[in-house]
Amino acid sequence: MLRLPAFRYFSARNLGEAVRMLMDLGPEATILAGGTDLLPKMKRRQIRCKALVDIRLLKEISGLRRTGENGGEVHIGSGVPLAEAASHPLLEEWDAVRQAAAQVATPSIRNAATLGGNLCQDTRCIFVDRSEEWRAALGFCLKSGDGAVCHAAPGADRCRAVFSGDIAPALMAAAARVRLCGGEGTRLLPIEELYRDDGRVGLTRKHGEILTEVLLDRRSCRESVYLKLRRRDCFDFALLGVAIGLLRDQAGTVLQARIALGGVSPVPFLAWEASRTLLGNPLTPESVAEAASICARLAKPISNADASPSYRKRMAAVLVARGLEELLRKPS
Amino acid sequence: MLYGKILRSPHPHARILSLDTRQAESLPGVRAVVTGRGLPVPYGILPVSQDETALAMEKVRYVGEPVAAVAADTEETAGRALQLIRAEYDPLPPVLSLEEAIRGKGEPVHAKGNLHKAVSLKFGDANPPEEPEYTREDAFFYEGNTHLPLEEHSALALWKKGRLVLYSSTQTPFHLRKILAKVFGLPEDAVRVIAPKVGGGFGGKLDPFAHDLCASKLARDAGRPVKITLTREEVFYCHRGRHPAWMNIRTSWKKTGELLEMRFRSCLDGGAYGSFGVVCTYYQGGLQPTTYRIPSYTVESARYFTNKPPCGPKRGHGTPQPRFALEAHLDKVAEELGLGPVELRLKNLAPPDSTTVNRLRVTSSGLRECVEKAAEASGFRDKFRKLPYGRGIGFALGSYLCGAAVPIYWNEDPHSRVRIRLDAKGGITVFSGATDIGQGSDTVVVWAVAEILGVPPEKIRLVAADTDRTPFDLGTYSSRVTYMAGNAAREAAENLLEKVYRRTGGRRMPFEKAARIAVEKEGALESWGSYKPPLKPANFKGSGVGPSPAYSFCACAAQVQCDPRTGRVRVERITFAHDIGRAIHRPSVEGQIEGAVHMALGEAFLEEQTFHPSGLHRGPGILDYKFLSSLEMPEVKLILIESKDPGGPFGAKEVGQGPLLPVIPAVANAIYDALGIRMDKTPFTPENILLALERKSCGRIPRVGPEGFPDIPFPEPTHIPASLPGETVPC
Repeated sequence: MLRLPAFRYFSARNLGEAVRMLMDLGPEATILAGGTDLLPKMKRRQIRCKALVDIRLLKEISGLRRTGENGGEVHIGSGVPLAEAASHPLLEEWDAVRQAAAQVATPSIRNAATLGGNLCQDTRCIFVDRSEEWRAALGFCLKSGDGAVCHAAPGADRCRAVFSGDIAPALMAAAARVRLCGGEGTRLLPIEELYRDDGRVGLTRKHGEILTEVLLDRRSCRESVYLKLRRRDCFDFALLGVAIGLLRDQAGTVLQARIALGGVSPVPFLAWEASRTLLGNPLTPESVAEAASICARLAKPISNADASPSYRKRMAAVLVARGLEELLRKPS
Repeated sequence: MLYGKILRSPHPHARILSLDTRQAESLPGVRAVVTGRGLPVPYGILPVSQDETALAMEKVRYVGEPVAAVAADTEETAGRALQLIRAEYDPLPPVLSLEEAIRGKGEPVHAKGNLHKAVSLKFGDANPPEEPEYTREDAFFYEGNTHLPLEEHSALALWKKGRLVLYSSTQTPFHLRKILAKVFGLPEDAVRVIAPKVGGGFGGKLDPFAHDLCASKLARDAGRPVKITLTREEVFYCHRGRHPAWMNIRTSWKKTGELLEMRFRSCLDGGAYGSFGVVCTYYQGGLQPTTYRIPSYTVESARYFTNKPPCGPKRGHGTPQPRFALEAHLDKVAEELGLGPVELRLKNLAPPDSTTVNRLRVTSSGLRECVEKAAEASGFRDKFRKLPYGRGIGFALGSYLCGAAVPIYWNEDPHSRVRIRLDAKGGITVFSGATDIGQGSDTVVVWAVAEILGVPPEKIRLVAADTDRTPFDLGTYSSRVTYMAGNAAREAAENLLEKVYRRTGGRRMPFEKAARIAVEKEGALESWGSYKPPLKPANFKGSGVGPSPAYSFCACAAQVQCDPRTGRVRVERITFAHDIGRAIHRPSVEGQIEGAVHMALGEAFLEEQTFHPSGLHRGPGILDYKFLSSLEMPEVKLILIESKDPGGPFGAKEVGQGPLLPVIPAVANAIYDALGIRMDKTPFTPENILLALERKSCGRIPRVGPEGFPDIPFPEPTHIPASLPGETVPC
């Protein structure tokens, strides 16, 4: 059996204490929430941290609440388990978020894993998420250890490990913002600014910062959908995640469109070029097809996940079209 | 107790230049270290393949091959000690595919060359009995896959007064005892092997393994018990799973659909060591004739060594690959002859009470009934070629043995024995050497005794799978336990019954009352039962593989829904008819069939034991090695056919392996019905389905699979005519 390495464990009672602990312990301390992403990586010695700061008791990151004019804003605490997010009444109108949460891993993992943990999960690669012995036998790479090669794309000078989380694209399509709290105060930023295009360290979150909540605003998105490509109907990470958020008027004219793709690059991203083709007109089979083919062009997966890059790229068009068709069928 | 850990090779093929364990030995908490020199005796599960040592000696032959082992006070210390062992290797070019193994460039995997075994047999008529009117040839590839038992292998060894006691998650404690005795130079009675309840085997816990031998050696050297439990990754390196197989089948027919002739060729990618490979090579051609009459039958099969974890027996042992090829081939033949797939099969069924062309004696057979019932219950004839595009239905048959009639180590002894002891207080204890690996053999043995004695099963205690305490049993493989241990249990119970009622003067009374009287007079009573197959194999080399006292039969209809845009296939329903002979414990029978369908669908769609060009396993973990989840599991409609086998216990036959066989080809045939594409290669991935659809849309042959067959130096076939001079028909 693979065992966890030795580490020091701290349980924080409130947000301030958690931030202080992280700052005091320094970069070798890591945040522990659900642990479903972190602990297996520690067992495989992919992440070497000497201390874990448990934030599960923090009231500041729990629960959901409604605010704003007419209750148009929803705050989701980052500590909310995915199972709760998948079925919470306050998220009833946020289809993509619920659908994404419901499709993460397995029921038992969704009970433990948190929304914030899913957003902050590490990038993945079939040459990295392996035991230490396996990685050593192949030779350490840009992401695992101190190697200088990339086994997925030999010759590459930067790591393209893929971000496979489901929630991030769904939140991008919904124009969500996230709040980070750290020693230097709090920041509120659009979800896409949480990520950076680097497979080694894909987050802009600084050490000591804790993602505390996600903000959704009904004014930016009224309809949404999330579709996930994977081998099986559970358990598997996304080989491709497609989230679409729309704001349409009564005539069906698209006022705002946001198509987000996950699972095909180190960072989940908004396919602006495809989204723009939908603006100003009602959805038509032609505009759907055009947006779909642009998305397939924008998706540039490499051989670092289970299915072939060409298949994943091709499926971007299929899933985007399916998502838009699904929204088209629904009354706006 | 100490914890043991094994150092494994990072190279697929390399000479070991040096192994320096001094630093590891001096680490505080380390109690023993062993390398190849400490366990030099070669062994192997088959007498003809004694080609393994517990730890690699001069060469490593696959990534993950054990090279040293350590016992320490804690698992952590043992792990640290492994990192302190300095191993120097001289890497050699690896042989990673069948093509490379056949081409044979560079240093071969074993000194004798990469070709492990080649067999060539011709059965029955030298020529087809009539001039063929139609001939067809197809090539197939079956990808390798592994057993994936939930429980990782584990072994705990201790020495008591010069005797070795090993607890091991093994399917064959008595065979393991034999190997341990050989390697440690002990008489067999100085070794005790205990198989606790085993958490799944599927053939993956049949071979003796390095962890069994290393735990034993480390325990002796350290003078303390040593336990080694494998990680999931290490289980993938133990492997002994399904051989990748490149197959070619050619058949000749009358236009009316009578099979005249079959030539079956197969080439197996065996991995680094022999394991059960020789048997598997023979099984490639072994069981086609138990379902279909073949007047003239030629089999050529070969196994090659490659630098990958050794392949061996997995549920179906060497028959799922040829069954896939055969049943998918028949679907194509039926279409070209303009016959229904069910009708073509019915025309050529092997009858009950017959001898097949390859000299196998078929006793009971409910095959015809299986075909009819499965076709009817699935609505096959109404749906075939009539469902809308994207949906389809496919059909296939299967058959498997109920225990190999020939033991691995040839001797005249019974294959199973069961002993029953009746206590002074009337308690009943059954002693059986059979190993329950989750399949329910303990239940069968107890229920057989309970049925004869007329007592509730819960009144019976069972002691099982302990070489000191239980009588000899060959173990759990070849679907033999219900038939053989079941028969031994039945006989032991009958003997006990007779002893008991003899002592009560034959008066009629309930068993429990009679037992009290009998024991009052005599003290404890004991009885024995045993089973030995009533068969002699025919007189030709290879005739030992395939004979069985009985065969199970089954028919499967698979209905699928395919998404032509994503290439994903959903199996909507499996209709399965199985000739069980007689169901002794119905829930266990149903569980075995549903489990087999689950495993088969995993093999059909997802499972791949494949390797990176570096020789590393692509995904040795249960997230990356894709198997079927419960969400992809379709509804399974079960039909049990009870043909009441004359030799089976209460008429029972096997259900542990046979039900896997027809599912894979039935699905392939259903995909053709749905989309008009032939998946001649497993697994049927979305990528390959889209590839075949693309080929179809641009007018090419709408299939994915290999072409032809590699050039292999087969020997001249040995011809075994329909009847051998002076041969007495078995049974």
